[in-house]
Amino acid sequence: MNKKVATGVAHDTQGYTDGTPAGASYDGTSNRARWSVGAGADLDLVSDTRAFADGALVHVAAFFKGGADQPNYVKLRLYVDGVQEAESGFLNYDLDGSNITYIYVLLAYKAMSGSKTSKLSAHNYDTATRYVGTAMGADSNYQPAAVVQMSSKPG
Amino acid sequence: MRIRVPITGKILEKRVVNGVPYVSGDPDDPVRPVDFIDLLPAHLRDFGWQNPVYDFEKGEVELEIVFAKKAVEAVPGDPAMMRPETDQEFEARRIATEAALDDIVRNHRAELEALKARRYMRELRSTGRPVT
Repeated sequence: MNKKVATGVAHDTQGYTDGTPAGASYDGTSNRARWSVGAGADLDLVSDTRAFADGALVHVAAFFKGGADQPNYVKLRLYVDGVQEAESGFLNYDLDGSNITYIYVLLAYKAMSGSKTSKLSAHNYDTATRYVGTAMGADSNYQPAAVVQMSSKPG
Repeated sequence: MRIRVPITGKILEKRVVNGVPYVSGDPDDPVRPVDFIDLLPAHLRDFGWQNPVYDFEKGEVELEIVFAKKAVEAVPGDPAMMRPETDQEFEARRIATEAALDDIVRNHRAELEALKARRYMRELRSTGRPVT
Protein backbone atom coordinates (compact mmCIF):
# COMPACT_ATOMS: atom_id res chain seq x y z
CA MET A 1 0.00 0.00 0.00
CA ASN A 2 1.31 3.38 -0.90
CA LYS A 3 1.59 5.73 1.98
CA LYS A 4 1.41 9.44 1.52
CA VAL A 5 3.83 11.25 3.72
CA ALA A 6 3.07 14.80 4.64
CA THR A 7 5.93 17.11 3.89
CA GLY A 8 6.53 20.22 5.86
CA VAL A 9 6.34 23.60 4.18
CA ALA A 10 8.92 26.03 5.41
CA HIS A 11 7.37 29.34 6.23
CA ASP A 12 9.13 32.57 6.73
CA THR A 13 7.96 33.69 10.10
CA GLN A 14 8.38 37.38 9.91
CA GLY A 15 8.33 38.07 13.60
CA TYR A 16 5.35 39.18 15.56
CA THR A 17 3.97 42.16 17.35
CA ASP A 18 2.78 42.08 20.91
CA GLY A 19 1.54 44.96 22.84
CA THR A 20 -0.50 46.60 25.46
CA PRO A 21 -2.89 49.31 24.37
CA ALA A 22 -2.55 52.79 25.76
CA GLY A 23 -4.63 53.66 28.77
CA ALA A 24 -3.90 50.60 30.87
CA SER A 25 -4.50 51.09 34.55
CA TYR A 26 -2.83 49.16 37.34
CA ASP A 27 -4.82 48.95 40.53
CA GLY A 28 -1.75 48.47 42.72
CA THR A 29 -3.24 45.64 44.73
CA SER A 30 -2.59 42.68 42.51
CA ASN A 31 -0.72 41.76 39.40
CA ARG A 32 -3.23 42.91 36.88
CA ALA A 33 -3.79 45.48 34.21
CA ARG A 34 -7.04 46.46 32.60
CA TRP A 35 -8.40 48.56 29.77
CA SER A 36 -11.83 50.05 29.37
CA VAL A 37 -13.92 49.31 26.28
CA GLY A 38 -16.69 51.78 25.51
CA ALA A 39 -20.28 50.65 25.00
CA GLY A 40 -20.72 49.21 21.54
CA ALA A 41 -17.13 50.10 20.67
CA ASP A 42 -13.86 48.42 19.72
CA LEU A 43 -10.61 48.68 21.69
CA ASP A 44 -7.56 47.96 19.56
CA LEU A 45 -5.32 45.60 21.55
CA VAL A 46 -2.46 45.10 19.15
CA SER A 47 -1.66 45.46 15.45
CA ASP A 48 1.02 44.26 13.06
CA THR A 49 2.03 45.80 9.73
CA ARG A 50 4.17 43.95 7.20
CA ALA A 51 4.94 44.07 3.49
CA PHE A 52 4.27 41.05 1.28
CA ALA A 53 5.22 40.08 -2.24
CA ASP A 54 2.50 40.25 -4.86
CA GLY A 55 -0.03 37.49 -4.27
CA ALA A 56 1.58 36.12 -1.11
CA LEU A 57 -0.48 33.64 0.88
CA VAL A 58 -0.45 34.93 4.41
CA HIS A 59 -1.31 33.31 7.72
CA VAL A 60 -2.58 35.66 10.38
CA ALA A 61 -2.66 34.46 13.98
CA ALA A 62 -3.81 36.43 17.00
CA PHE A 63 -3.64 35.42 20.64
CA PHE A 64 -5.07 36.95 23.79
CA LYS A 65 -4.60 35.84 27.37
CA GLY A 66 -6.97 37.31 29.89
CA GLY A 67 -10.63 38.00 30.40
CA ALA A 68 -13.35 40.55 31.03
CA ASP A 69 -14.86 42.12 34.12
CA GLN A 70 -18.18 40.43 33.36
CA PRO A 71 -18.89 37.41 31.16
CA ASN A 72 -21.18 37.60 28.11
CA TYR A 73 -20.34 41.11 26.87
CA VAL A 74 -16.91 41.31 25.19
CA LYS A 75 -15.66 39.40 22.15
CA LEU A 76 -12.38 39.55 20.24
CA ARG A 77 -12.29 40.56 16.60
CA LEU A 78 -9.49 39.94 14.11
CA TYR A 79 -9.25 42.49 11.30
CA VAL A 80 -6.97 42.06 8.29
CA ASP A 81 -6.54 45.12 6.09
CA GLY A 82 -9.82 46.63 7.25
CA VAL A 83 -11.88 43.46 6.80
CA GLN A 84 -13.00 41.34 9.75
CA GLU A 85 -11.83 37.74 9.41
CA ALA A 86 -12.81 36.11 12.70
CA GLU A 87 -14.60 36.68 15.99
CA SER A 88 -14.32 34.84 19.29
CA GLY A 89 -17.00 33.84 21.72
CA PHE A 90 -17.48 36.02 24.78
CA LEU A 91 -14.47 36.52 27.00
CA ASN A 92 -14.91 34.78 30.31
CA TYR A 93 -14.61 36.53 33.64
CA ASP A 94 -10.92 36.68 34.41
CA LEU A 95 -10.06 40.30 34.95
CA ASP A 96 -7.04 39.73 37.13
CA GLY A 97 -5.74 36.54 35.58
CA SER A 98 -6.05 34.77 38.91
CA ASN A 99 -9.41 33.05 38.44
CA ILE A 100 -8.90 30.72 35.51
CA THR A 101 -6.40 31.36 32.76
CA TYR A 102 -8.04 31.68 29.37
CA ILE A 103 -6.24 31.88 26.05
CA TYR A 104 -8.09 32.88 22.91
CA VAL A 105 -6.81 32.26 19.38
CA LEU A 106 -8.14 33.71 16.13
CA LEU A 107 -6.79 32.74 12.72
CA ALA A 108 -7.07 33.87 9.12
CA TYR A 109 -5.47 32.85 5.81
CA LYS A 110 -5.49 35.24 2.88
CA ALA A 111 -3.77 36.22 -0.33
CA MET A 112 -2.23 39.67 0.05
CA SER A 113 -0.01 42.11 -1.74
CA GLY A 114 1.99 45.03 -0.44
CA SER A 115 1.97 46.54 3.03
CA LYS A 116 -0.93 45.26 5.14
CA THR A 117 -2.02 45.70 8.72
CA SER A 118 -3.76 43.16 10.92
CA LYS A 119 -5.18 44.02 14.31
CA LEU A 120 -6.81 42.30 17.24
CA SER A 121 -9.58 44.27 18.93
CA ALA A 122 -11.93 43.73 21.84
CA HIS A 123 -15.54 44.60 21.05
CA ASN A 124 -18.02 45.44 23.78
CA TYR A 125 -21.59 44.37 22.95
CA ASP A 126 -22.95 45.88 26.16
CA THR A 127 -24.60 49.28 26.57
CA ALA A 128 -22.24 50.10 29.46
CA THR A 129 -18.45 50.36 29.59
CA ARG A 130 -16.71 47.04 30.20
CA TYR A 131 -13.11 46.13 30.96
CA VAL A 132 -10.68 43.61 29.59
CA GLY A 133 -7.72 42.59 31.70
CA THR A 134 -4.64 40.48 31.84
CA ALA A 135 -2.06 39.36 34.33
CA MET A 136 1.17 41.25 34.86
CA GLY A 137 4.60 39.82 35.47
CA ALA A 138 6.09 39.62 38.93
CA ASP A 139 8.14 42.70 38.17
CA SER A 140 4.93 44.55 37.30
CA ASN A 141 5.89 44.78 33.65
CA TYR A 142 3.04 44.07 31.32
CA GLN A 143 3.11 40.61 29.87
CA PRO A 144 2.28 40.31 26.20
CA ALA A 145 -1.46 40.28 26.64
CA ALA A 146 -2.16 40.21 22.95
CA VAL A 147 -0.12 39.06 20.00
CA VAL A 148 -0.85 39.25 16.30
CA GLN A 149 1.43 37.72 13.72
CA MET A 150 1.45 37.60 9.94
CA SER A 151 3.67 35.20 8.05
CA SER A 152 3.95 34.00 4.48
CA LYS A 153 5.62 31.27 2.51
CA PRO A 154 8.89 32.54 1.05
CA GLY A 155 8.47 33.48 -2.58
CA MET B 1 -23.02 25.42 10.69
CA ARG B 2 -22.55 28.14 8.09
CA ILE B 3 -24.84 31.14 7.74
CA ARG B 4 -25.10 34.07 5.34
CA VAL B 5 -25.65 37.55 6.74
CA PRO B 6 -25.43 41.10 5.32
CA ILE B 7 -22.18 43.04 5.59
CA THR B 8 -21.50 46.61 6.59
CA GLY B 9 -18.49 48.93 6.48
CA LYS B 10 -16.61 50.90 3.86
CA ILE B 11 -14.59 49.39 1.00
CA LEU B 12 -11.47 51.36 0.06
CA GLU B 13 -10.12 49.19 -2.73
CA LYS B 14 -11.17 46.16 -4.78
CA ARG B 15 -8.86 44.04 -6.91
CA VAL B 16 -8.01 40.46 -7.82
CA VAL B 17 -5.14 38.66 -6.05
CA ASN B 18 -4.23 35.15 -7.21
CA GLY B 19 -7.53 35.03 -9.03
CA VAL B 20 -9.47 35.77 -5.87
CA PRO B 21 -11.32 39.07 -5.33
CA TYR B 22 -9.53 41.03 -2.63
CA VAL B 23 -10.94 43.98 -0.75
CA SER B 24 -9.31 46.51 1.51
CA GLY B 25 -11.59 48.02 4.11
CA ASP B 26 -11.50 51.32 5.93
CA PRO B 27 -9.73 50.78 9.29
CA ASP B 28 -12.13 53.30 10.83
CA ASP B 29 -15.17 51.57 9.33
CA PRO B 30 -14.12 47.96 8.72
CA VAL B 31 -15.94 45.64 6.36
CA ARG B 32 -17.62 43.02 8.52
CA PRO B 33 -20.87 41.18 9.18
CA VAL B 34 -23.68 43.16 10.78
CA ASP B 35 -24.08 42.56 14.52
CA PHE B 36 -26.53 39.72 13.97
CA ILE B 37 -26.15 38.51 17.54
CA ASP B 38 -28.33 41.47 18.54
CA LEU B 39 -31.28 39.47 17.18
CA LEU B 40 -30.58 36.49 19.42
CA PRO B 41 -31.73 35.96 23.01
CA ALA B 42 -29.02 37.00 25.48
CA HIS B 43 -28.33 33.41 26.59
CA LEU B 44 -27.65 32.24 23.01
CA ARG B 45 -25.02 34.76 21.94
CA ASP B 46 -21.85 32.99 23.07
CA PHE B 47 -20.20 31.68 19.92
CA GLY B 48 -17.52 32.76 17.51
CA TRP B 49 -17.14 32.63 13.76
CA GLN B 50 -14.26 32.06 11.34
CA ASN B 51 -13.40 31.36 7.70
CA PRO B 52 -15.64 34.07 6.23
CA VAL B 53 -16.40 34.05 2.52
CA TYR B 54 -17.31 37.58 1.51
CA ASP B 55 -19.65 38.10 -1.44
CA PHE B 56 -19.24 41.79 -2.21
CA GLU B 57 -21.60 41.68 -5.19
CA LYS B 58 -24.50 40.55 -3.01
CA GLY B 59 -23.33 42.44 0.07
CA GLU B 60 -23.26 39.26 2.14
CA VAL B 61 -20.78 37.06 3.95
CA GLU B 62 -20.91 33.36 4.72
CA LEU B 63 -19.61 32.53 8.18
CA GLU B 64 -18.63 29.31 9.91
CA ILE B 65 -20.13 29.43 13.39
CA VAL B 66 -17.92 27.88 16.06
CA PHE B 67 -18.62 27.00 19.65
CA ALA B 68 -16.41 26.42 22.64
CA LYS B 69 -17.18 25.42 26.17
CA LYS B 70 -17.66 28.49 28.32
CA ALA B 71 -17.31 29.19 31.99
CA VAL B 72 -20.58 29.37 33.88
CA GLU B 73 -21.28 30.58 37.38
CA ALA B 74 -20.78 27.82 39.93
CA VAL B 75 -22.51 30.01 42.46
CA PRO B 76 -25.44 31.85 40.82
CA GLY B 77 -24.87 35.60 40.84
CA ASP B 78 -21.15 35.37 41.61
CA PRO B 79 -19.02 35.80 38.48
CA ALA B 80 -15.88 35.15 40.53
CA MET B 81 -16.91 31.54 41.12
CA MET B 82 -16.85 29.87 37.74
CA ARG B 83 -16.86 26.28 36.50
CA PRO B 84 -16.65 24.81 32.99
CA GLU B 85 -19.86 23.92 31.18
CA THR B 86 -20.75 20.24 31.29
CA ASP B 87 -20.96 18.27 28.04
CA GLN B 88 -24.76 18.26 28.31
CA GLU B 89 -24.96 22.00 28.94
CA PHE B 90 -22.64 22.72 26.05
CA GLU B 91 -24.53 20.52 23.59
CA ALA B 92 -27.91 21.94 24.61
CA ARG B 93 -26.62 25.50 24.14
CA ARG B 94 -25.10 24.67 20.77
CA ILE B 95 -28.30 23.09 19.46
CA ALA B 96 -30.49 25.93 20.73
CA THR B 97 -28.15 28.57 19.30
CA GLU B 98 -28.00 26.94 15.89
CA ALA B 99 -31.80 26.72 15.80
CA ALA B 100 -32.07 30.42 16.68
CA LEU B 101 -29.50 31.37 14.03
CA ASP B 102 -31.32 29.29 11.43
CA ASP B 103 -34.58 31.05 12.30
CA ILE B 104 -32.98 34.49 11.94
CA VAL B 105 -31.47 33.70 8.55
CA ARG B 106 -34.67 32.13 7.19
CA ASN B 107 -37.35 34.33 8.69
CA HIS B 108 -35.86 37.66 9.73
CA ARG B 109 -34.08 39.00 6.65
CA ALA B 110 -35.57 42.49 7.02
CA GLU B 111 -34.32 42.76 10.60
CA LEU B 112 -30.85 41.66 9.49
CA GLU B 113 -30.77 44.34 6.80
CA ALA B 114 -32.00 46.91 9.31
CA LEU B 115 -28.97 46.21 11.52
CA LYS B 116 -26.80 48.11 9.05
CA ALA B 117 -28.51 51.34 10.09
CA ARG B 118 -28.80 50.39 13.76
CA ARG B 119 -25.07 49.84 14.01
CA TYR B 120 -24.33 53.43 13.06
CA MET B 121 -26.88 54.73 15.55
CA ARG B 122 -25.28 52.75 18.38
CA GLU B 123 -21.77 53.83 17.52
CA LEU B 124 -22.83 57.47 17.38
CA ARG B 125 -24.33 57.11 20.83
CA SER B 126 -21.14 55.54 22.16
CA THR B 127 -19.16 58.57 20.99
CA GLY B 128 -21.54 60.97 22.67
CA ARG B 129 -22.31 62.71 19.41
CA PRO B 130 -25.95 63.62 18.76
CA VAL B 131 -27.89 61.03 16.82
CA THR B 132 -29.72 62.46 13.85
